[in-house]
Amino acid sequence: MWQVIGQQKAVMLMDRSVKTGQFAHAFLFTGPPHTGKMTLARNLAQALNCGSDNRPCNECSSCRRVAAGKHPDVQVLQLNLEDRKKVITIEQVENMQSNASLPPYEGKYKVFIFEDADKLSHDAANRLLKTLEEPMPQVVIILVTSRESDLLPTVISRCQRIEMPPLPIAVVEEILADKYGAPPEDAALLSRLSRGRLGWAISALQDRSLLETRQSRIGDLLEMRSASITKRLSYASDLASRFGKSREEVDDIMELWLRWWNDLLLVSAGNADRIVNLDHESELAEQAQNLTIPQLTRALRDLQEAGRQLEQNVNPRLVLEVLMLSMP
Amino acid sequence: MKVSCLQENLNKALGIVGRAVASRTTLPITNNVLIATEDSKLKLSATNLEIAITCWFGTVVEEEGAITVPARLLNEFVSSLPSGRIDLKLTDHSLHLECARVEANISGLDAEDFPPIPEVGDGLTYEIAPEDLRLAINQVVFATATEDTRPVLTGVSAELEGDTMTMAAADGFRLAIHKAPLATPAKEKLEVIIPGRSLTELGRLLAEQEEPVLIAVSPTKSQILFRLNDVTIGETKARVELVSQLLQGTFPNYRQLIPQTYSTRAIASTSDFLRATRTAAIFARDGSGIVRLQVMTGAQDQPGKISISARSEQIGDNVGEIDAEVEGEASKIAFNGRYVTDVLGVIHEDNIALETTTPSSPGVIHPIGSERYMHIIMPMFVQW
Repeated sequence: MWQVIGQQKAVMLMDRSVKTGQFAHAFLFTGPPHTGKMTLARNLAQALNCGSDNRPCNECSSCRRVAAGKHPDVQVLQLNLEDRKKVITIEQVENMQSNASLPPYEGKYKVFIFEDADKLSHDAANRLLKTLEEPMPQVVIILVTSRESDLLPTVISRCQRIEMPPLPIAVVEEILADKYGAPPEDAALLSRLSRGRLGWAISALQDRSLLETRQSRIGDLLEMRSASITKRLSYASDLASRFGKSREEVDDIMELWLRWWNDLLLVSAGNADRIVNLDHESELAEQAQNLTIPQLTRALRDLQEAGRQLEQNVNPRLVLEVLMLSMP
Repeated sequence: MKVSCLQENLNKALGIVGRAVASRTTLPITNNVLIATEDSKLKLSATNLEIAITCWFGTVVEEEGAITVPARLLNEFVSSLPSGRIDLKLTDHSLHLECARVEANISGLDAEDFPPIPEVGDGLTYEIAPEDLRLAINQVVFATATEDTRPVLTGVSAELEGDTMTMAAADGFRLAIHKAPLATPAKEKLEVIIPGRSLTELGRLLAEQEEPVLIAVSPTKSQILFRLNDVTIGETKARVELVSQLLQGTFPNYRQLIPQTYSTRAIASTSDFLRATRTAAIFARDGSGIVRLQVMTGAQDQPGKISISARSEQIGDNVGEIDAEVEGEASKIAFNGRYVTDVLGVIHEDNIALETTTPSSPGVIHPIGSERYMHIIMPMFVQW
C-alpha cells in the first residue's frame, strides 16, 4: 500500500516501476512543501526492499524499520543540525559515496534520500554528479526538494523528475472529511488554507496550534490596519528581528497577508464565494467596503515586491517598514 | 536473560567485537553491542554495516534473552571491574550487571532493531591456515588506496583457485601481490574484492589461531565470512566470525603491470636496505619523499653496491651505501621513500632482490627464498 494520498500520477509511476523492476537510479521529487514527497520517498525505499508481493506492505520488519528510520540500507541525508551548518556538506556526500560502494547490508537496494536537496552546497552537488550519473547497481538515490530552482541544472538533468503538484482544493476537502473525519467547516477552511498541500492540512487538523497561530497573526493584521504609524513601525522592526531568526516564520506571515488582501479583492469584485479565510467572512466584507480595487491591487503588488526583495537579501527592516507605511 | 561469566572472558570478548562497533554512524543502534544467549553460550555481536564481528563463548545460561547496550560504555565498565564472576540480568530495557561488590544498570535498545548479522550460508567454502592468511594480509593490505575516488582500490582483490589464494592491492603507485597456499584445494574459482579495513581487523584477530580459518562467500557475492574456531578466551576456545561486505566492481587487471624482464637485478640485505632508506627518507621529507637509488656493478670479483640518497634544497642531503650482489648493468631509479620502507618493513626474509629496467619503468621487489610475494613500485621522475 502506497501511503501517499492524492498524487495518483506519481504513485502509479512508482508502482509500475517497482512491479516491472525498471526504474531510474536517481529520482528528483519536486513540488511545494507538504505534498507527500518524503512520504513517497520512504514508500519507494520500502517497496524496493520489501519482501512481500504487494510492495510496500508496511507490515514486514523491513518496511517497519524503514518507516522508523532504523533500516541499515535506507539513509536520509539532511542538514546536520548539530553542526549548525546551512548546507549539506561535501563530507556528508563523501560518506554517502563510500557507503554506496558497498552492497546492501540486508535488503535488496541501498536507498539514499536527500531531504531538501536544494540545501546541497555547490561543491557537494558537484561531488554527487558522478554518483548520480552511474551509481553502483543496487543503489537508488532520491532527491527531494521544494525549491527546484536552487538545484544545479547538471543535477536535475541526471534524475528522473517526478512532479508532485498541490492537489485541487476540492480533493483536499474531500480527503479531510472522508479519511480524517474532519467536521465540514474545518475541512472547508483547512483545504483552502492549505492551498492544496495535503500534508499541511492534515497536520493542522491534528495540531490545533497551527490554527491558533494563524488567528493571532490575523489579529495582528487587523490591529495594524487601524494602528498609528509609530506602532506600525515598531511591528515592522519586530518582524525584521524575527526574520533574522527564522525566515520561514516571516514568509508565512507575508503569505497570510497575501491571502487576506486577495480575499478582500475577491469580496470587492463580488466573488465572495471563492475566498480562503472562510471564518472571517464578516471582517472581510466590512473591510472591503472601505477599499477600492486599485488600492487592493497596489497592496498586493507591494506585498509581492517585498517578498521578492527579502528573497534577494535586501535589509529586512527597511523592506518591512516600507511595506507597513504603504499598507492602506 | 540471566547469565554469569568471568570478567576476563567478557572483557576479552568485548575487545574482539568492539573493533566492529561503528564510530560515526547514521544508525545509532550500531554504536551498541548485541548481547544474546545462543545454544547455552553468550553471543556478542557488533557491526558498523561494513564489518560485523560475532563471538560465542562459554557461560552459564540460566535464562535466555537478548538486548543491545552501548558498546563503549559496557567495555569501559567491564574492563574496570575486578577479575571474577559477573552476573548479567535483563530487566525491561536495561542490563543489570553484578560483579563482586559492584552493581550497574545500563539502559539499552531493543535487540530486534539491531541490524541482522548477514547470513552467508555454506555455499562456497574455502580453508586456509591462519599464519598464511595473516602473512598475506600483512604484506598486501598497506598498499590499498585510502581515498575513496575509486572504491575498488580501497579493497584487496582476492582470487581463490586450485590450491592458492592470490591477494593483490594497488593504489595507483604501487602494487602488492601475495600468493598463499590454501589448506584444502578450492572446489570452485572465486574472485572478490575485500575492503582493506576488514582485512586489517581480520589480521588482528588471527594472532593465536592454529586451526584453519574457514572462508565462505554468500551466493550473491555481496558478503564474505571468516570463521575462526579456536580463539582463546580464558581457559576455553571461542568461535569468532567476521562478516565483511564485499566491494562491487572490477579490480584493474594488474597482471599486465608486472614487468616481464629486467636489466638490473640487485640482491641486498633487507634490514640494511630498510635502514638506509629510512635514513634517506629523513632528508626526503621536503622533496616530496624522493629517494634516489643507484645500483653499481662491482669491478671484477668485487660485490656491487646500491647507493641510496636524498636531497632537499633547504635542509641538505645524504648518501648511504649498502652491499649488493648485482647482475646486469648499472642503473638509476627514484622512488617515494615511504613506499620502499613500507614494503621492506613487511618482508621477513633476510634478503631481497630489486629488479629494474629504466629510470621510468616500475621497479620490482621480491624476497629471496620465497616465491609468494612480489611488490611493484612506480618510479618518480627526477633530474639526475
